[in-house]
This record gives sequence, structure tokens and C-alpha cells, in this order.
Amino acid sequence: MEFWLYVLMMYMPSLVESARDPMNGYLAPSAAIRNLDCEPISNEGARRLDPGRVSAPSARGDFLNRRAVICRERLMPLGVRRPQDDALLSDLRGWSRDMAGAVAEAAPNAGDRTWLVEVFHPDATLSYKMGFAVKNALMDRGVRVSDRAPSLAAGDIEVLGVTPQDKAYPLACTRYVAGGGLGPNDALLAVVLRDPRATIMNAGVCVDGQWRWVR
Amino acid sequence: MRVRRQRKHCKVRRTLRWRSLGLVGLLFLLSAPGCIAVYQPMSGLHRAIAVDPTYANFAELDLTLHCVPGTHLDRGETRTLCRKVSRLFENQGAEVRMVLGRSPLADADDVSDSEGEAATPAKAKPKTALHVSLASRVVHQEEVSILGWTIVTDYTFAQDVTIRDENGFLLVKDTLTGRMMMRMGFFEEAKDDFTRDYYGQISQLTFNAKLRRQVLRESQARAGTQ
Repeated sequence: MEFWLYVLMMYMPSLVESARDPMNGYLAPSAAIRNLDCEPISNEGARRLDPGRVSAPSARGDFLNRRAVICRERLMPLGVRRPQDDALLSDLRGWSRDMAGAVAEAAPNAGDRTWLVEVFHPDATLSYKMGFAVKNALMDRGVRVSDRAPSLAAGDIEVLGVTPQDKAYPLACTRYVAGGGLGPNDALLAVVLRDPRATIMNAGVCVDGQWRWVR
Repeated sequence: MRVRRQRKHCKVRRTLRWRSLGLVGLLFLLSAPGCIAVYQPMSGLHRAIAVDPTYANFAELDLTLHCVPGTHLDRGETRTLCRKVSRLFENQGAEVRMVLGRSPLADADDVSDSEGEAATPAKAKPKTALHVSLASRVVHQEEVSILGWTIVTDYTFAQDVTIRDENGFLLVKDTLTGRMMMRMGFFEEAKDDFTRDYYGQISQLTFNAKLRRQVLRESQARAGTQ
């Protein structure tokens, strides 16, 4: 009996310490752990973030091994959205900021123009969301943005529909300018899903009738 | 008399049934729990993927796979991992060349027995399109022992994935972090879950890199024509 009490006393601190661990559960780990994004951080970092929960180590030493992991629950659980939509939307702010940065680098005088944003994605709702995020990211950089969508003639659309992708976007850029869809002070940022198997959006800019991929 | 005998017979059968059920339950309790691995994807590994690793996603792609031994995986384990990842890409249509270490040129003994190298047809100079580099490290390791007997081993690992084009231009850089715990338990799904996550992510990252390279090539081609 004493032996088991001793074992329990030895094991108890670990049990108490790991009570909040999402991996616990002797039958099987909870399915909820797949909806957590976790990041290990240093104990000092954790104490700075949440001093009430993570106490300072004792001056005489600690008898527990402490480790800190920050876990954030996903806004939308896995499996609710289509995998590709989920991958694109879960880091929407991050890649739209990167894209805005790439535009600013690619076009040094980006601030002198009015930027139009067009998203090429088969889902209209998703296109709207992505377009909105990219426009916001551009505005954060002090770039003038318009909600206007550049238009093409029906004949142009028909030709572009049968043109290979590597030629279609440069051709569309030329036609936008020739047809008046893009004025001399306008520029277009096209956010393109090049392949249905990709989880990244590519970006190209159309400035003065010249097409260039920037991301 | 006959009814009484039947009742008695029935009671004996019922008792036997309960005893056998109890015995089966006891055997289950004694045999089922064991040292199992539990897996938790921490970051990157459980990101949604759109690519299907069972399709020929990398047809007409030359790929050099650099596997770097480190604190997490020793040379032998790294080679095993490299072979498996190499097979993953080959199954998707890529032509794979395996290199153990950071250097683009592997040691002679590393390359000679690698499957990836064996699968590469003899060419004067292979036209490599993508360089995928995998380097694993242990982020945290902890063991719980009672009287010298380790009952729980818990470690967090990270794998840095870097994909460059043949000119060294960085296309994709990502870190996949996960946690493994070896402890007593009943059901083990860690191996299947981790394999699905890891191979899926590696395939998706490489596919995204391939697409970036294609776009980059188109831009370069246009710049050349203008």
C-alpha cells in the first residue's frame, strides 16, 4: 500500500501539471486538438504574456518541469469549409499584406495611381472576400484604391477564354488599356488562382498596358 | 420435475455466459493497453490541403531532395525519411535525386545505395527544377519516470522545409511542427494521422513551389521578349 502511495505522490505533480494538456485522454486524444494551432514559447515569454497564470520560478529552484505552449483555436473548425477555401482564408490577412507589399515593390510609383483589384477565382463569394482583404491591405500602405472593375468587350472575353494562361493575362492587360477599361492613371492588380490544386494565390500587375507577375 | 431441471440448466448456462463475458473483458483490459504513440499537429501539419498526393501532380519535374541529419533524426533515420519522401514524389510523377546533407553534392556512400539515385536515369547533367530541403530538429523533450521506469515520453519536433528553384531562388519556406507522446493507452492512430498530414503538406508545399516557379519563368520570359 505504501508503495502505491509513494508512486502516486511521485506521479501526482505530472498529472496536475498536464491536466490542461489537450493530448490527455487515455482512450484517445480529443479530436479537438486538430482545431488548435499551437506554438511552444519560453517560460519567460509566457510569464510576460500571462503573469497571473504562469508564476515566476522559485528562487530556491523548481520541482516541476515547466513548459509553455500557446494554443489558438481555429475560427472555423477543419472540415467545415472546402480544403482549398480553408487554406486560402485561414491566412487571408497575411498573404494579402504580402501581396500589397509586392505591388509596392514592383511599382515604385504605385501611390500616384488608382488601383483596381480583380480576383480570378471560380467562387464569387470567395473572390469578393479576397478582393476586399487585398484592397484593405493596399489602403493600409497608403495606395489609392477603386471599387470599379475593369471591363472587356465580349469579343475579347471570347478570345481570352481559349488562350493559354501564360498568354491570356498579358493579352487581357493590353485589351483593358486599349478598350479604355484602364485609364492612364489606373493600374490593375489581378489576384489569380492559377491551379485548382494550389493553396496560394498569384498576383500580377497591369501598368500602362504592361503585364507583370509579382507573386 | 422436468421444468425444474430446465430452470437449473438455464441458470448454469447463464452463469457460464456471464463468467465467459467477464473473462473476455478481463483479457481485453489486460491485453489492450500498451505503450502507444499519440500525435498532435501543432502548426503547419494540419493545414488544409487541396492537392491529392495520389495523382501525378509532378509529372515532368526534376526534383532534388536534400535531407539534413540533425538533433531529431540521425543519419540512418534521415536516409529512411528521405527514401520515403522520395517515393512520395516519384509516385506523383517526379524524377527524384536524393542527397543526404546540405550540400548539393552528396557523399559517394550516401548516394550509392539510395533508391532515388537508382531511379534517376543516367544523364550527363540532370536538369533540376526544384530543390527541396528537409531539416528536422527537436524543440522540446520531456520524460516522466517512476523509479527509473519511463512511463511517458513527450517531445515536440519541427521540420524546416525550404524549396528553391535551380538558380537558388527561394520559392517556399515553411516549418511543420508536431508533438509525439509515448504513453500507456488503448488506441493508436498516430502513425496514420502523422503520415497523412506530413505527406499531404510536403506535396502541397512542393506543388505551390512548382506553381511559383512557373509564374516566375513566365515573368522572366516576358521580360526577355520585351
